[in-house]
Amino acid sequence: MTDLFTPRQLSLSLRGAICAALLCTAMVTTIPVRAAENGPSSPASAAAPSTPLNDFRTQLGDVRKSLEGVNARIEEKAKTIESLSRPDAAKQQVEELQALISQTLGLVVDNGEIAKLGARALGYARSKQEQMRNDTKFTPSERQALQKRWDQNVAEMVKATDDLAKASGEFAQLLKTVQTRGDYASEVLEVENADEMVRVVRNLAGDVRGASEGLKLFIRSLTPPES
Amino acid sequence: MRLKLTCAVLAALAVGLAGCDWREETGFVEVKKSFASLAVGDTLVLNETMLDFGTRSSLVIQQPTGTAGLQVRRGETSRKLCEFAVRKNRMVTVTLAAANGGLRCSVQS
Repeated sequence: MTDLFTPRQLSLSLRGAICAALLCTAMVTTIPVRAAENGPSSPASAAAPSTPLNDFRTQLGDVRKSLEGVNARIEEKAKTIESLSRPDAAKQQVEELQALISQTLGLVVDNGEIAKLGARALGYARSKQEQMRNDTKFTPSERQALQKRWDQNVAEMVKATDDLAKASGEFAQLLKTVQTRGDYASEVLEVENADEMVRVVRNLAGDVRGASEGLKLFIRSLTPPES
Repeated sequence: MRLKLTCAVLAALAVGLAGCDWREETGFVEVKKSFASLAVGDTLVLNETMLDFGTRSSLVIQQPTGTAGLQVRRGETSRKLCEFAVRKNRMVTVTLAAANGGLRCSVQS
């Protein structure tokens, strides 16, 4: 063992590992920031002041794009499942589908980042609404105009947070469907009926397609609140 | 000697970069409630996550895999309602119902 590495070489390799780990940590910590900075809505966010409303608007736009992308992949997966003929492949595809839906659900869960941002933005909009109601600094017409804008903003914010809650409900339902069908297919496989198992999984593809169509309509209606 | 050194550095890099792919395994808990509201001062807590239903009757919460516990907290004291397993990429549904002046928990995974 001692022939393999001298203390200097060991120290070098250890340094290499530490450097790699540090590099990895740096990448992990900087990529999301850069992604946010270079995101599609970065010009707007660069111009607009950073408020809970702007942060939420930007994030919601990004979430919508991610949902569109993942939904397309879910449809692809459903197509693949339909053409399956082997039970082991079917099982694997169902697991992959579960992972894909989980990834999407993770974006819109009630304890996720976007939901927290939404709650913060709604709280902020409501506090501004209240502030305008009690304002004595502006003229009545200015106050009225600002009040109207904040009322509209609160209404849009409530709709957006409700939409998110609806999205988490929809994806939760889809995940439950897939996992239950997957469990049933596993039971069928356990009683050694491979053909039936493949049939169950193929039918699942139809369910997923139906859900995906519904989700598409829903994603289209998911609009970030206006400024 | 140089080859060994290169191998060592490459192995170290591989170990370091393997860390980049590390992600915590998670599953989901759907908490449904079939009662109007909690007693004043009570809060529902799932592991360390406070559950705020607002006007809704269900919430979907992402949790690390393993055992999760749902409890009612009042001030410093807390009472465990139920425990259940959270599995990777799976949903477990917990339904809360009022029963005998308290809350009853039923779990479906």
